[in-house]
Amino acid sequence: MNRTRHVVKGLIPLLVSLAVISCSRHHASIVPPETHSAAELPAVREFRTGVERLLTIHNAAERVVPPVSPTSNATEIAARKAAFAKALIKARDGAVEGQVFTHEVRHYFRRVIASELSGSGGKVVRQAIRESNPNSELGTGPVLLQVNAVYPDTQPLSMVPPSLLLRLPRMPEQFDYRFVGRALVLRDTESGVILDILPKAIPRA
Amino acid sequence: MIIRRAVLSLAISAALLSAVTVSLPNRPDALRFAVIGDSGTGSQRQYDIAQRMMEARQQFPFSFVIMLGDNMYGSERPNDFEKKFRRPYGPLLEAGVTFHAVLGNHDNSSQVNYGPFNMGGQRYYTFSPRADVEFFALDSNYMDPVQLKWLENSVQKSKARWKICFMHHPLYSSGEKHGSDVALRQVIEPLFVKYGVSVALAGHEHFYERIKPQNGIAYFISGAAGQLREGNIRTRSNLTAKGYDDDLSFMLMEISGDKLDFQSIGRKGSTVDEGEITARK
Repeated sequence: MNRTRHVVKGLIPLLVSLAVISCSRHHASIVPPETHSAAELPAVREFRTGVERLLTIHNAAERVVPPVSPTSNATEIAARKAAFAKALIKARDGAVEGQVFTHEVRHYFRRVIASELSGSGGKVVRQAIRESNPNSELGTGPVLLQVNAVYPDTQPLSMVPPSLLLRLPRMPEQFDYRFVGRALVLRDTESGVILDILPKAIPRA
Repeated sequence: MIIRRAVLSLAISAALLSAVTVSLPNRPDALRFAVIGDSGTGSQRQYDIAQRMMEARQQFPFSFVIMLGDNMYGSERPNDFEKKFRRPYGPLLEAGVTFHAVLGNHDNSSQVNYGPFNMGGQRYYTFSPRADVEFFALDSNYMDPVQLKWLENSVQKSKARWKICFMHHPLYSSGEKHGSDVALRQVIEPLFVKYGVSVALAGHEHFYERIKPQNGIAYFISGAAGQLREGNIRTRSNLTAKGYDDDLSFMLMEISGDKLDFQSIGRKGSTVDEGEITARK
């Protein structure tokens, strides 16, 4: 009897561990935590520093434009968007390409995107990027690729494949990545202002 | 002579656009709603569809409309919201019908703040018109990790018998122009399957298509409420249960218990498709 008790007691931690593992597997998310290799970290950190600077500027611009909440007044919405764009453009007067997508960061992004477009799954990702891409692969089209230009309302926004978004550095809600032709642009979502551009982000097919 | 000609012209137009006949059961306890996609052109054909919706509502008093994106094409100046939304759907809005939109690839992000779209300032959200039905409105243009995590948590914790996802890009499509969004499907369909989503609605393709059930889920494309791509459904597709790309269309749906009945209606009032789905267990 004592021996049995000892065996049972010994098994309890094992059973508890198995239960925890089982529960965590059952609730394992399809969204993995963001990870980067040691080699990638310097570029990722440099990118994040650039994004944080942009976020500071975004937040400062937000303080000088009218606050937003859902409204049936479309004039108010349009006016706010325009005011936001104006404030951001003014705050970043003279901004040029490459201030966030620096040399090191460009290499990193191009490697990740090329990797995502390669292999058996690459065709599907490339097709998704082409969806509603407003500029041709030659780089010409209706969206002016220029830092501080405003992405025109009249042009569609490209889809960005979810698998690629899982691999790229995660962005705050205030900004997004979009493809325009072969370029990757960093865009302010509230104003539509193009914050930086990575030309030739997509390798030729 | 001129007046006679005008009257004759009106009579011919009225005859061409025949009245709608709603064939849905119209059960007393049913939740009733309409579905439109790719509507925002401001064209006469969009207005025709809106008129058909109003006629349908006389027989089938739906309380809200799901909008599947591309709510506005081209410019989005204040008067565009009048021309492409408020005016065509004015009678519905005045009758108290609410609209619940998602963003399409032609939509400006600032639409999330347009009150009549009921997006609450968010590009993805859920709403529950009744305890047993929950809608998950998704931004398929930009399914980033934050939205993905939110979707996973939301569908997992939902206790609704009917979980219905709606978004702009179709996971399954027989369209020549766009086709199935496989990149999106690979990531979000497993969540739909795992957490009991019964129905997924999408636009983007400018036609109507009911897809054969995929992994137990009913998929619909209803992207022709303002735009049409005639002849765009691939005829040899093995995905199509029913397709219609001859004219614009919209959908009506009612949910009662574990049954969802649907009807797709064309611009001239004819029934394009109808049927019934049972909720996934």
